[in-house]
Amino acid sequence: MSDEAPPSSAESSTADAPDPAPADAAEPAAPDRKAPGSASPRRSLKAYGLIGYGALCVALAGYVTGLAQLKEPPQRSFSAPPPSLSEEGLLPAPSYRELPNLRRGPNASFESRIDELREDVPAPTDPVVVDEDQRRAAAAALADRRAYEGAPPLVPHPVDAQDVAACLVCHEAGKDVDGVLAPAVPHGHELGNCTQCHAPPAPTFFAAAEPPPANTFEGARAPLHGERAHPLAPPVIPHATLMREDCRACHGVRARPGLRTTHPWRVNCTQCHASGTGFAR
Amino acid sequence: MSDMDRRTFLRNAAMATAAAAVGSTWPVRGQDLESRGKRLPGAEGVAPLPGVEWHKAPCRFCGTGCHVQVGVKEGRVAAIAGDPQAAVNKGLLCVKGYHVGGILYGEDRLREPLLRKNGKLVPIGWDEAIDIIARRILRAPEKFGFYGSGQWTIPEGFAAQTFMKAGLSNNNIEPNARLCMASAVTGFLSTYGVDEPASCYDDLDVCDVVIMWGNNPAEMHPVLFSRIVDRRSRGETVQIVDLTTRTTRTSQQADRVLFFEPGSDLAVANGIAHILIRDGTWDREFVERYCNFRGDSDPRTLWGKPITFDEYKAFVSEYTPEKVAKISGLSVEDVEFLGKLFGDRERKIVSLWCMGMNQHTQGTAINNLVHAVHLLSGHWGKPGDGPQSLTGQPAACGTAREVGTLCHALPGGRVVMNAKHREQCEKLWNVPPGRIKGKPGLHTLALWREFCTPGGAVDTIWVQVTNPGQSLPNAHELFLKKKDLPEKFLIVNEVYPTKTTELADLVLPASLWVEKNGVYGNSERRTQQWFKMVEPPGQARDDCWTTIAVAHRLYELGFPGMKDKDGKFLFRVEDDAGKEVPVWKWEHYYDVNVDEVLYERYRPFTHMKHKNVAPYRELVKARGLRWPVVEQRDGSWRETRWRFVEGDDPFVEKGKGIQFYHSRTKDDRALIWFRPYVPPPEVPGDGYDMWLCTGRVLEHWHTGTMTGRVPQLQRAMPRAYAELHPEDARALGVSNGDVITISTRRGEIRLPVWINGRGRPRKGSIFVPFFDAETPINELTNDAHDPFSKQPDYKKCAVRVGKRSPE
Repeated sequence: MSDEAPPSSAESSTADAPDPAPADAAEPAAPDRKAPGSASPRRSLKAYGLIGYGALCVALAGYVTGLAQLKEPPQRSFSAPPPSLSEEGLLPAPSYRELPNLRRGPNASFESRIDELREDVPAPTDPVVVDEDQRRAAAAALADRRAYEGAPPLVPHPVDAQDVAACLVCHEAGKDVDGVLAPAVPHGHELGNCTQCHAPPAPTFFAAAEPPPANTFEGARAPLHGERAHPLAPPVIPHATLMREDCRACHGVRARPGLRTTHPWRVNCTQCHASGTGFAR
Repeated sequence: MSDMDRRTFLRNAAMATAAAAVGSTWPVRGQDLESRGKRLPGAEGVAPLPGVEWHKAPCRFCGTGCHVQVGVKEGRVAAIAGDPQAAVNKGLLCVKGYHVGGILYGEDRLREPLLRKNGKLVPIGWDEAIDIIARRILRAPEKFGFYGSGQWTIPEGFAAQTFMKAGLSNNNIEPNARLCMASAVTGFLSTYGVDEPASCYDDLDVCDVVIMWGNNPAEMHPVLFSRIVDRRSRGETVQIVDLTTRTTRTSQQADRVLFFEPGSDLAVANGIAHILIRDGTWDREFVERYCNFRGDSDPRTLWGKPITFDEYKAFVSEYTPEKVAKISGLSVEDVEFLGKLFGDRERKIVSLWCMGMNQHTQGTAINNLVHAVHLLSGHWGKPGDGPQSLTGQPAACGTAREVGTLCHALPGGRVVMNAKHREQCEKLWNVPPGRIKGKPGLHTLALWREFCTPGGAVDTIWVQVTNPGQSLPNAHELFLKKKDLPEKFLIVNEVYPTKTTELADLVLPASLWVEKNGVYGNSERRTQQWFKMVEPPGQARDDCWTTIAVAHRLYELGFPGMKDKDGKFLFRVEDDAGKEVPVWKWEHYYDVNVDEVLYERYRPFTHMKHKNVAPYRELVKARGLRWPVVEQRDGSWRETRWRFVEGDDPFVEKGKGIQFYHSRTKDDRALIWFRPYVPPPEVPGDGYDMWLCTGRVLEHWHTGTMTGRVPQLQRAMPRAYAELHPEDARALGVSNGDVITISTRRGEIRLPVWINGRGRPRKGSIFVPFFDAETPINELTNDAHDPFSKQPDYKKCAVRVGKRSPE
C-alpha cells in the first residue's frame, strides 16, 4: 500500500510529462519550497510542456473571448432595480394572492440571479495561474471554519430547513456569488442529515450567559503542498480524502483561487495523485 | 530533488505512520507490546498529516458506540476522523464526535487534588487525599456510597463493584445509568428473563419501517439516524414513523408524525395489540411456539402473574381505537394505521426508543408493551425486524448493566438477593463466603435522599465520572441540601469544575478518555477497547487507579475486607514472573496493563448468562465485538448479531428456531405482557398549567461538562432555552430571545424563549434542555419514578410559565 503509492504515481506522471503540470508544479519559487539548484531536467521538460500549452491556450482563449463577446456581460449588481410605476404613476400594489410568491427586500434580486451567476464560472480550459499567496489565503479560509484538518466545517450562516435538498440548492455544485463562495459538497455519496456534522451558528438573540472557558486544543493542519517523489511526479494528496471523495468540490472550476487545478477536465484524480489516511488498522 | 530529498519523502510519505509509531513512547508497557506490534502494519496509504500518529478509540460520548481515529501529534490529540473500518459508523461521526478531541483541552481542567478547608477548595497532595477517603470510609463503612456512571469503563466499574460488594460488603453502589436505562433493563428482564437487546444496528440497514417511540435520534444518536436516512439517499425506501410529543429534527424527516399526549404511549401500544387481535393479524404460529402471556398481579410486581390468551384478549379488548384516540390525542385513523402496520408481516419493522420510554413513571410497563406488540405480531428475530432499545451513555450496557454496578446487581446478570449468585461471585473474587451482603443497597434516588437528610443512612458519597449536581431530578431536595450539611462528605473525581464539585469536600483530578486505557460497551452488545494515547494534565490520574489506591490504603490500615480468602490484597496484580506489582502507586500503575488484568478477571463472570464477552486481545484487534463472542474450532472468535436466533446465537439449540434460553417461565418462551394505561402522577392544573419536558440537544452531551468546553459546539449551542409553541408565546406576549420564568412545585429558573427553533412543542407544553449549568432545569423536575426500575421521569411534570417580572 503505502510503499507502492509513490513509484506508481511517478510512473504515470512520466507518461504525462508533456501535459501541463499539476497545480503546484507551476510554482518553482514557492516560498516554502527550495528552488532547484542549476538547470534541472525538470526545467527543460517543463519548458517543452509550457510551449505546447501556451499555443493551446492562445487558441482557446481567443475562442472563448469571442464567444463571451456575443453575450451581455454578466450582471453583477445585487441591488433591486427601482420598481416601474403604473400608468397612473403609482407604485405597484401586489395582490394578496401574489404576495407569498413575491421576492422583496434588499436581497430580492440577489436570490433571483443565483442561477444566472452560475453560468459565470470559468471554463475548464481557462488557464489557471498558480499563486502562492492565493493558495495560502484559501488554506486559511478553509482552516478558519475547521477545528483541525479534516473536521467538518461549521456553517457560517443560519440554517432554516433540515432537509438535504435545501442545503443542496447552493451546495450541490457550489456557487461563487461575487466572490462569496458556497462550497460544493465534497462527499462522494449523498448523505441525509447535513446538520448532524455541520453546525450552524446559534440564533443571534441567543447570547451565552457567560463566554465558554478558553480551550487550548490545537488542530493539526495539512501542508500547503503534497510531496513529490521527484520534480515531475504528481504531488500526493496532502490531506485525507475521507468524506472528501469528490475532488472537484475544492479543486474544480468553482474552487477558491489558489486551490484550483490546472487540469479540471481530468476526472480520475487518484490515478496520479496518491491518497491515504495514515489511520491505524 | 536530491537523493536526500527523495529519501526524506519516501520515509515521510510512505512510511510515516510506521516510523512514528516505532519512535513513539507508547504508554502501555508489558503485556501489550505484542499486540501493539500487531498494529504497526495497519497504517493505511500515505500519511498526509506530518507528525500525526493515528490510533483507534470508541467515541467518548453516547451509547451509539462510534469508533474514531484519534490523531496524536507531539503528545496531544490534534485531529479526529470517523473510523472507516467501524461497522457502527462506517467512517461517519456527528458534530460532537468530530470535536471530541477538544474536550481534553479546556483551560479549566482540574489539575490537582483539592480539599475544602473553611469553605474553600485548596490544593493538597494525592497521598493525603487517598488517606482522607480511606479514613472516612473506615469510620463507618456501611454509611458509604459509591455513585458512578455509564461512562465508567468496564475495568473502572468492575474495580468499584469489587471494592464495594466484595471489599466493603456494602451494596450502596449505583451508576447514573439508573437515571437513563433502568426501565429498559426491567423491561428486557421481565420479557425475556435476561437483560439487554437481542437485535443490533444491522437491522437499521434492512428494515422497511422505523418507529420512533418518543425518540429523537436525529439529535441523540445522529449516526444511527444517518444510517437510516442515508438509505433514502441511496434510493432505498424506508418509512419513518415518529410517535412523539413534540416536533423534532427526527419529525422533520419522518413520513408520518403522530403526536400523543405525554404518558399515553401505553394506551397506544395496547391499541396496536387490540387491532392485531381484532383483525386476526397477530402471528399465531410465532406466539404459540415462542411466547407466554403475562399480566399485572395485585399488588403490581415486576414479574406479574401468568394469564391465558383469553384473559389477554379480554384486557386489550378495552383498548379500542376510539378509546386510545381519546386518551392519546391520536386520531382513530392514526391508531388503525399503527395496528395495520404491525399486522403486515411483509414489512420489516424496527422500534427505536431511548429516554422517552425509559424516563417514565410507567417505564417498565411501556418497555414490556413495545416488546409485546413485536412478539404478538411476529416482528421479531429476523434481520430488520425487531425492537431495539438505545442507551445514552457509552458503557451504560458495558459497565452499568453487564458489570452490574447497581445496588441490587452482581456482575454478569446476577443479583445480590440470590444466594447462589453471591456464592459464585465470592468464588470468582476469591473472598470468604458471606462477604457479599444479600440485601440490595440504596437505589440512586434513595441514596441521595439519605445523603441529603441529617443523620440519614449515608454520610459519604464518592462520585466518579458523572455530575449528579446537574443531572439528578428535583435537585433542591436530592443534591443542593448538602450545602447545609457539613457533616456529610462528598468526594468527586472530575475533569472540570461542575455543579457537583461546587459542593464537594474533596475533588480529585481525573484522566479523561484517551488519557487512559479503557473498555466500553455500546447499545448493541458491542465491547470496545482503546489504549492510552496522551498524558493527563497536571496531577490528574485514572479513576480506576484511585479506587485501587484507596482499597490499598484501607488494606494498609488493616481493614479485613480488602483481603481475599488467602489474605492477599483484593486487587493484587502480578507480573509475568508472579511478583506483585504495586499498582496502587501511580508511578507503577502502567507497569502492567491493569485494564487487561481487571477485564480478564471480569470475563468469567459473563458466562453464566451467556453474555460471553470477547478476550481483551481480540478486542485490541477489532472495532468492538458483539457478545456473546464464542471461540470457533479454528481458534477465531465469532460475534453474535441476533441473540436467541438459531444460526446466529451459538447458544440456541439446533432446530429450535428461536430460543429464549433464560426464559422466566423456564420453557424457552418470552412473555407477552399486558400492562394497563396509567395516567402520569403530575399533570397540568392548579396554576401549573403546562407540561415540561426536558432532554438533550445534538451539540451537547448530557450536562455539558465536556462539550461546554469546545468552542465549535458552544458557538452552535451557547446556552439552554425554552421551546414554546407560537400560540403560547403569543398569549404570553413574548418572542424569540425574551426571558421567561419557569416554575414548578420544586423550583424556578429563567430562560430565553426560542420559537420554531430546534424543536417545536405542542400547544400547552414547553421543552428545556438540561446541558446548561447556568440554568439547571433539574432543580425543577420531578423525582417521581417507575415502581420497578426506580428510574425518575424527566419528561413530564406540571409547570407554570410567566413573563419575567420587572426587577
